[in-house]
Amino acid sequence: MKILLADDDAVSRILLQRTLERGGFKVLCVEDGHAAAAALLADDGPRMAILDWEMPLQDGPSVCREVRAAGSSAYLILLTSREAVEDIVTGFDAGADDYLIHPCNPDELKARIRVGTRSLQLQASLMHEAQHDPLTGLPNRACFVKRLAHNVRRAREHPGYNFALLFVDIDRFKVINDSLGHLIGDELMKSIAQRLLQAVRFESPPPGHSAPRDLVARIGGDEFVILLENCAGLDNGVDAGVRVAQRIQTVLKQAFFLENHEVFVTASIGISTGSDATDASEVLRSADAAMYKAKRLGKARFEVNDTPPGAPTVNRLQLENDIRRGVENEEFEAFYQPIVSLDDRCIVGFEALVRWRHPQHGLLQPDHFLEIAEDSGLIVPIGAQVTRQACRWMRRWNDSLISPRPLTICINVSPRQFAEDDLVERVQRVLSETGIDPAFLELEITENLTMQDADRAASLLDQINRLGVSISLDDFGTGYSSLNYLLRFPLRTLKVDRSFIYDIENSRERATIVETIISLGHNLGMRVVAEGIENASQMDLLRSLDCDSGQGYFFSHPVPANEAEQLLQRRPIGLIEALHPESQPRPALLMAS
Amino acid sequence: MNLDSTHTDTGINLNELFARVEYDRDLLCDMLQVFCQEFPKLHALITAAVIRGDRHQVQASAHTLKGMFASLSFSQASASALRIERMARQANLTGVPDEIDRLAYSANCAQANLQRVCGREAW
Repeated sequence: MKILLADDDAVSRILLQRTLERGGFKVLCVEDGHAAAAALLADDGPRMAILDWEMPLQDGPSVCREVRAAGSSAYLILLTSREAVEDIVTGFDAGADDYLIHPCNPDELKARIRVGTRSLQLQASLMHEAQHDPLTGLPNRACFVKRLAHNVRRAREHPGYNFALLFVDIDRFKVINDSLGHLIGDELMKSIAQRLLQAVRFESPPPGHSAPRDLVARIGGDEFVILLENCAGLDNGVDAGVRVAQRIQTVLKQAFFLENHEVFVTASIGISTGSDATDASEVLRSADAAMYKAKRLGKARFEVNDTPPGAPTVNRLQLENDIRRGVENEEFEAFYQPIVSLDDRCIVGFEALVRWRHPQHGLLQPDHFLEIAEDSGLIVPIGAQVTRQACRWMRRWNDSLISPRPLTICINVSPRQFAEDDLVERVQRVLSETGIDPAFLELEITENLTMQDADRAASLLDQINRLGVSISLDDFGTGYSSLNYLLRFPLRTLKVDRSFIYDIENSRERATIVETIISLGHNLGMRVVAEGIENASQMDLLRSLDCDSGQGYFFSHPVPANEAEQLLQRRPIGLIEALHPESQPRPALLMAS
Repeated sequence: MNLDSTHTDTGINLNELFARVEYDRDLLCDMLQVFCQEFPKLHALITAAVIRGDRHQVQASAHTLKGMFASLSFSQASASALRIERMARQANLTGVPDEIDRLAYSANCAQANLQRVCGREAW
């Protein structure tokens, strides 16, 4: 460590200098107060100083005051022959950390320096903690925003200076975290941080000693940001941003091996350039909006935010506030996709799927809001609203005998809802509020929900089952497909994921897999429902494989309650395109992804 | 090292000085060399200040001399420098010239004694 020694007395100076050098310190000597202040305030100045009280041009206490006023936290020791208490107090008030009585004993000098060193180490450690993410060791939001703000200022002051910001969000990280547990989730975050560091630009020489040139920071659970400073070219940094985004996608493609689990991740990346930004938060918002757009467009991709500066951008906070308001105004609505018996093509039930009737943007699909609703916990009140609506309609349809057989309503349970301590009480409340017969309510869970704490899951599902409510396992085949879980949980229905049904009429392999799943379900006493049926060939094949029921666009898209009522009056059902309001075929979007 | 000399007969508190330099002969010799260069300049400076009646400069120079003597454990010279500093602070320079003479005498004696100590072969 380098220590500044400021003393106009040459004899004292050489004595202290040698004593300190013997202690292993580097010593920078100056003879007056101005030189001392300048050295301490220099960019790479010493972090510790011994300042003589009386010096030409500026005395020691005055140097302390100047250095403190500039925000420096250097450790300052005043050297004084004044032993009066009031002088010592004056020194501390000026900003000194310690004092030494001149001429000082070498052992005392070294001891005081040790105290100072410990103090600086503690300070550095606290500073590091305050600026870094403890999990990955990467800079944190505070550190990142400071550097970003510096770049925004630089771009404003020097036209032509370009920088770019990448907002990287790991797709479906929550699912991984919930399925494999937080410890593996943490390990994954650490590994992702390392991969991101591989993807950024490096200082070139000297070989083997290159350091990252770009700043990679972790600013949230699964959110990383990368600042690309000093981007060359005339494209405001877009090109550099795109190239780094492509490299990120490449480095994330390789599997992560975490405690016997092979995990694959993708990232949605938003790119923003900051040449016209007025502050750091504007650039961050812009990159966040681009990332959000990448999510909406299917994830595992990057988007460049080309919104003109100052134009309103959709940001997550705004959207969260909108969702909150939407909950208060009951803007969330259940849509109903029929579940059809493959024997007679009669509707046997519906799956309730959430939609948002936004006052400005019209009818919104779940991909516009579900992730934020889940992250913010707003999925819980949304789920409660939609469940109540669906149960009321179901009771009405069953009471009116509009259908020749009793109908079941299937409600998806999201990870957040499943994690709530009072899930069973909530189900009970819905039953009593809506008066629905519990035999006609089925809660859909995914395997991922049960993975983290199987004992808790088993207990919860048993309690729900004892209420008379059925449980179905959704998206079967895409998760861990654990036979143990199938045996352990009180499941009534197995829903075969749409990915197995897609093109099944042309794929012998898929047909074999689905046949096996159907057989497995039946052997365990479950009903089997195939999701994603899009044409008559698929329906016919599934019927030949002994599949009980199906749902998909071939029968109907999700429709509002009044249109669902009309569907109930048609038998048999199939390909009623004219009724669905969503013109383009798209995957059915679950209330809980 | 012969530590039997006391500050009363040499003007130097040798025990204290040796401990301060951690028995580093080279350091002590270097300090003495620096003193030999600096003292005449400071002596001239304080004398000129007394002649000008510049009590602030007298006080500042006396303070520096006091520190320098203290580093070398020149106890009598250091006591003289302290007396000069106090007189200057009280704006009373009447007794300062005599005290400067005493200071110079003590310093020269101590310097000579220290040169002898540094010149000894046995440490």
